[in-house]
Amino acid sequence: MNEMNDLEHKRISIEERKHALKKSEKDDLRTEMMLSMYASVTKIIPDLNEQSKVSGYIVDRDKNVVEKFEYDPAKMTDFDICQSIWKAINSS
Amino acid sequence: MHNKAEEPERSKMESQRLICETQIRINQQKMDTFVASFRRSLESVKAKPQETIQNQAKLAKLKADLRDAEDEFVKVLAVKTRREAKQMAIRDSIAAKKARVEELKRTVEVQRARKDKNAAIISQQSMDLATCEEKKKQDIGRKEEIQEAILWYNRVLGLHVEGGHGVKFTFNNINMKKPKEEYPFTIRHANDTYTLLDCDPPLNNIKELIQELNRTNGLFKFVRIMREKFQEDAVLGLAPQASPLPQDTTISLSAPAFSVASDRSESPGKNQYQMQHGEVSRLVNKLVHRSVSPLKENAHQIQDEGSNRRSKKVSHGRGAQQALSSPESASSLRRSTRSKVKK
Repeated sequence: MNEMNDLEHKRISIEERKHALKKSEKDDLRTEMMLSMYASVTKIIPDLNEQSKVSGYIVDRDKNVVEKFEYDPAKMTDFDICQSIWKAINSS
Repeated sequence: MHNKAEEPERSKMESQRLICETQIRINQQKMDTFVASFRRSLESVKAKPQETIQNQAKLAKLKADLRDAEDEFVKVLAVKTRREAKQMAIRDSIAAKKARVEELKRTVEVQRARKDKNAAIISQQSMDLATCEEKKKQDIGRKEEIQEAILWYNRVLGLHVEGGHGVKFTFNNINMKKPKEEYPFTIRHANDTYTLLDCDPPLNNIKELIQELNRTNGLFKFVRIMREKFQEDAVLGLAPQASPLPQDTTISLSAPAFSVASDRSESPGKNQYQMQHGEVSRLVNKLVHRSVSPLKENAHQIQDEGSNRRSKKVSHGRGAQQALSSPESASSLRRSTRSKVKK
């Protein structure tokens, strides 16, 4: 009987772990989808290595072109950088 | 003479008298004996009826006892019969129980075998889960990088996307004087039709834009155009007194309500989101494996996209659509609302 209870507890534990894992995977998928949406709308892949600069790549699938951009926050305001990037996005 | 003649007679009579007296005494004794005997007999006879009466009473009592005994006998016989029947039933029951015990023994054996099998399955699943959980832990860094990338879009490009009833896009860095001012619009895709649920501020030519969107299915381009329109609106200073949205069947102004499952029935149709799912992995890989040359990687990405676009439309549309309908995870990245900023 104890053995059966032990198995039942294990089964419930596995169910809970499965549920948590599925939820986590679902959350991850949603996050990835969200990232995909940002990338598709902006056509930009950010370069997160450059912490001191704002840099990345504008990808134009239709023209098969990848354009690198890089801005120095010390020389431009965030607003200007944003405008400049969006301008590049819309002109690509 | 006369006396002499009477003498013999007298003597004879005397003798006769003596004889008679003797006879009388004997008879008297006999009579006494008879009387005594008769009396004894009478006493004896007198006792008989009483004895008979007593015997009759005893007989009646005995008869009553006999009837009681007979009744008792009948009862006992009935009890005996019932007990015999019960005994038979118990014997049958015992036989059935024995058969049941045997059956249960067999069942126990089967269940034991199943238990062992299930224990093995549980053990295997536990190990598999542990492997998956370990892999998940290792993926935390990857997830953090994705979040970092999303925050980059929020911070640098002033773009926020959140799911719910439709997808809400919010821009800031539109108005140079008020960079934090937010310009949101919510678009929903259902039954192969895009519907604008909300747009603040309303734009003059939004009806044409939505028609164009439904015609071309170019959601991403539409979002970029919307930003340009917001910016034009801000530059012209028309935002506060912008004209209301034109009424159209594909446009409504209801506020977006957050719902996880409401849009899952939406048909993927020709939705442009569909081709994005395949890109996600590559994009994520790029973010994680930064040592790879981004330029080279992007070139591969573009080529892959060009050759696989059509097939991805079919195979990945549903997942992407679901994520766009309810990506709650993004809501945590969302910053203050427009009204909060204004305050």
